This record gives sequence, C-alpha cells and structure tokens, in this order.
Amino acid sequence: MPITGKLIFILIIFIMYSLSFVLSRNTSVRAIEKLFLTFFSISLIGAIVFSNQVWILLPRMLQVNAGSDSVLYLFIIVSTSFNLIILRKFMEIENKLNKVIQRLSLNEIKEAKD
Amino acid sequence: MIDTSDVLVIVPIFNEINNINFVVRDLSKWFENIIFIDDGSTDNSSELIQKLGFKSIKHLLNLGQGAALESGFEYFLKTKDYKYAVTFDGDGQNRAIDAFNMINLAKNDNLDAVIGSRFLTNEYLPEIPYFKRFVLKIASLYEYLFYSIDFTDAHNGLRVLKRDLIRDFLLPINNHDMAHASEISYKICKSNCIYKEFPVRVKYNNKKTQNSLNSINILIKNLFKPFNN
Repeated sequence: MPITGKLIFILIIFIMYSLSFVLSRNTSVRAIEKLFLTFFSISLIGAIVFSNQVWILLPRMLQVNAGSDSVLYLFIIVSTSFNLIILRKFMEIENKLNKVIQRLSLNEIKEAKD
Repeated sequence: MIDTSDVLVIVPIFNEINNINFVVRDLSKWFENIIFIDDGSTDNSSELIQKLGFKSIKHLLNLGQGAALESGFEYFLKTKDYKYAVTFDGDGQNRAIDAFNMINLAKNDNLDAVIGSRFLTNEYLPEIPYFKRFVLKIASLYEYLFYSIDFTDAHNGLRVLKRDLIRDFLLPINNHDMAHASEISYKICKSNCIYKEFPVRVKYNNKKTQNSLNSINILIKNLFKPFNN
C-alpha cells in the first residue's frame, strides 16, 4: 500500500474517533457519523459482491488493491467505527445509570431530613 | 480560631470501616459540618457513620470517587448556604489540620480554590514512595502538555473549593472514576478563578491508597472521555 493510502486510512479512523469522542454530540455529528458508517458498510458488501469487475473506483480512491485487500481495509474501518460507537454508547449508559443512583441517594437523604 | 460553620467537608468512602473512626476524630477537631459519601460500601461503613452521629449519602452501587464527589457537591449546593467545600479522602491519608489551614488561606486571601500539593516543600518528599513520585511527576507533565494544567501535584484529593466555582464550573463531573481529579484540575484552570496550591502531607501507611498503575487507566480513559464534553 502506498504512503498516501496509509495516510487516508489513518485519517478515516481519526475522523471516526473525533466524531465519537472529541466533537460534541449534536444531531449533525451523529448524522455524519451514521453516513460514514453506512457508506463504508455498503462499500464493504460491495467490495465482496462486485470485487474486481465493478468495484474499482473506491479501492483506487483509498489507494488500495481491489478484491481481498479492499475487503480487509473496509472491514477494519467498519469494525473500528462500530467499536468506537459502541464504546461511546456504553459510556453514555454508564453515565445515565450513575445519575439515577446518585438521584436516588440524594433523594433518600432529603427524605430522611424531612 | 477561624469560623468553619460555612464549610462542608465532603468525604468519599468505599469500604473504609477501619479508617472511619480515625478520620472522624481528626476532622471533628477542626470542622463542624462533615458529610460522608458512601460509594456502595459492603462493609457497613454507613452504619458506623450513622452510629457516630454523622450524615451520609449512600450510593446503592460503587460508582467511583468522581461520582461520590459529584453527589457531595450537589448536596453542598442544595442544602444550607455553605460557602466552601473541602474534599477530603476517606482513607485517612489527608490531615484535617492541612484542610483547616487551606480554609484559612482561602478566607484570608479570598481565593476560589486552594489545592493541596505534596511537592511544594521538600519536607514531605521522602515519605512519598519513589515509584509514586515518578508517576505523579509524569502525570503532572502530561496534564500540563495536554490540558495546560499547571498544578505541581496531579492527583491530590485535598481541595478547598468555593461555592460559585463548584456551581458554575465543576458540575457536572463527567469522569466518575479516578480521572475526575484531572477533570476538576482542568476545570479550575480553565475557569479563570483565583487559586493557590498549598503544601500538604499525605500518609502512605494505608494499603488502600490508589495504585500508581491506575494512571495508565486514567490516561487511556482521557482519550475517550474529554473533560468538556
């Protein structure tokens, strides 16, 4: 893989990390994240189904060989993105659970005071 | 002696039944308002605190020291009009006299925050284990480079914080584990408040003090949980 291909790969992973953890989670960021993920997931399926004959443009854009190389490339991007999003979701759920427990504890001491 | 009726000491604890008596005795000499945040202890710490006649907030599950402090801060803001909160480790490694002197400094100099530091004087340095000293120095450097936190002690649990600072800048605390210490330091530095560091002594005879290798957990967690998000 040429150096530009490696840089594009690192850039895509960095973009997914930024979307998940660095930028504030507003509607636009969530939408862009979903678009990215959908695009790469469809590309992954496309890279398998239309491996060498039709699916030429994307491997060329990503500076990677068509066929198994592009499948592996896209698989790493999609799985890493999924993992980042799931980690983010877990953290959000953990935070919400913590908030519920904190509320219960604070309400309890308030009631005890009353 | 300075009046401490407007000060609330917040003591997060987790399975500290062996240290509570000592912490209570030490703090009671200097402070009248103390609240313990029992972060899901399974050793009847809460019952002992109630038996000793002190208030406690009990989390149903262990959420982490950051969450315990957050609950303490929320109680601090909602109840009586306290002006200052003191965060004090429940494992007995802090000294109440240091907390008292920090309150004294905060009131005399009208400071928003006073942060305890083990590295301001050479007097207490030999008491800090070498590896811990090394890790704390690396942590301070990391915090300075990545978050512009200019404290000499990266993770000191002894702090004096003014009401406005807690209300306007510190809450909510996003990191409920030990990474909360970096988050609090970051928010203090970013708030443009007036703060000073104060030399404190930390006792290391308690086996339950934080493992130095936990700094790796904190460092990696910081990558995925920015303080301002």
